[in-house]
Amino acid sequence: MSADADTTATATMTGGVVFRVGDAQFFLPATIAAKVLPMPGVARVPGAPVDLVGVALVEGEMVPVVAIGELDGRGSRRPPPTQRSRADNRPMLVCTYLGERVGLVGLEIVATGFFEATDPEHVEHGGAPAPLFDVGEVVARLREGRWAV
Amino acid sequence: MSPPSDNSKRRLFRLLRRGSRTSPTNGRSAIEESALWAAHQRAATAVRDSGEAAQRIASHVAKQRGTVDALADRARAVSARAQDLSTSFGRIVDSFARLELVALNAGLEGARMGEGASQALGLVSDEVRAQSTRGSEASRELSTTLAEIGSELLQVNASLDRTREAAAEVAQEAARVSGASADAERALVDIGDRLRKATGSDPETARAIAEATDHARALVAALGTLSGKVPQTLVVSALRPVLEPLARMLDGEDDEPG
Repeated sequence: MSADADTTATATMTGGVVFRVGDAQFFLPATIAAKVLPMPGVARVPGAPVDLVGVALVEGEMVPVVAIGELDGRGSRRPPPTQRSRADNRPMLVCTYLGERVGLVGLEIVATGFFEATDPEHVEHGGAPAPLFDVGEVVARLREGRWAV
Repeated sequence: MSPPSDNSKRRLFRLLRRGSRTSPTNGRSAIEESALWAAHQRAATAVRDSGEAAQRIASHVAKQRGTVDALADRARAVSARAQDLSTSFGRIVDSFARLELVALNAGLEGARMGEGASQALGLVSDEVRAQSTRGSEASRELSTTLAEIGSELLQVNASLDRTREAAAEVAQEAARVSGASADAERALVDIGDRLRKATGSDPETARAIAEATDHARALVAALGTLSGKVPQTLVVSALRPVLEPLARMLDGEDDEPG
């Protein structure tokens, strides 16, 4: 889990974002989670790892977009095609890790703010524990791929 | 009924005489001819009525078709408006979704600011997110309802199309009935002409014969009631002034030359 995640308030309260991937709930501290954006237009990267959806232009910067869950799964909250509007409102969580930005998709944002930390690796939200999400592992997996970003 | 002229009377009596002898050509009595003319008249009236009824039906169907067309136009207009509204609701849902993301980002920003400072921002963020979620759900429900209305309107349009087709078929059938009635009317006129030539009578004469026959029957019945009660000489003397001209006419004494 992220060793860089730091608590932003007291020892028992941690600021950040709780999100859901499938049935599992995770937490990212506000120092890593930068902002939540609607899914931008993504350029596919031929031969890229399956998890790498592509690259997108976010605030003038090319950012790799990584699927951490099913894009059309329940967690993505993507409406069925008949109810889908022109805009893609699936959320993309933009994270900053070791100076690099990465966009996470295939998730459902549950809440932002301060959450009670049960231990350094977990916070609690809605009566359920949310472990810290390991962004480092995602970035490392991308770096290991032939098409490193 | 106007009193018959002398000519009519003579013609009537000629027919009565012929009726009493039965026709040598076809064996039909004047009474049968009268019944035939009556049937012909009834048929002519019925055919004329059916033709007029068919035209009235065609007229009503044309009006109904106009109403159905107007209704279909309105249904299509409402369907188009529902489609526009559905698109608008889609945009509203998008806006609420973006607002929800703004609220989430406000909460995240508050988390970066520190617990104390971010409390108010967090409250506002939560409230905005809750309201945008409610708005988004309400908009989706409205959008779904509109889609259902649109679907219903499609069915209404389909029903109206079927009604229009049925009206067109009824109009065709009415036109066919009207044409057939016109044919039947012409045929009946032809039958009337041929009947007139064949029998030498016409509907008015036939009707007069029927009435005269009724009167004659009544006279015979009245004489029957007198039989045996009143001396025959008295009856003959009383009726002779009236019956003698009748008897002469029936014997053909007043036949005009040629």
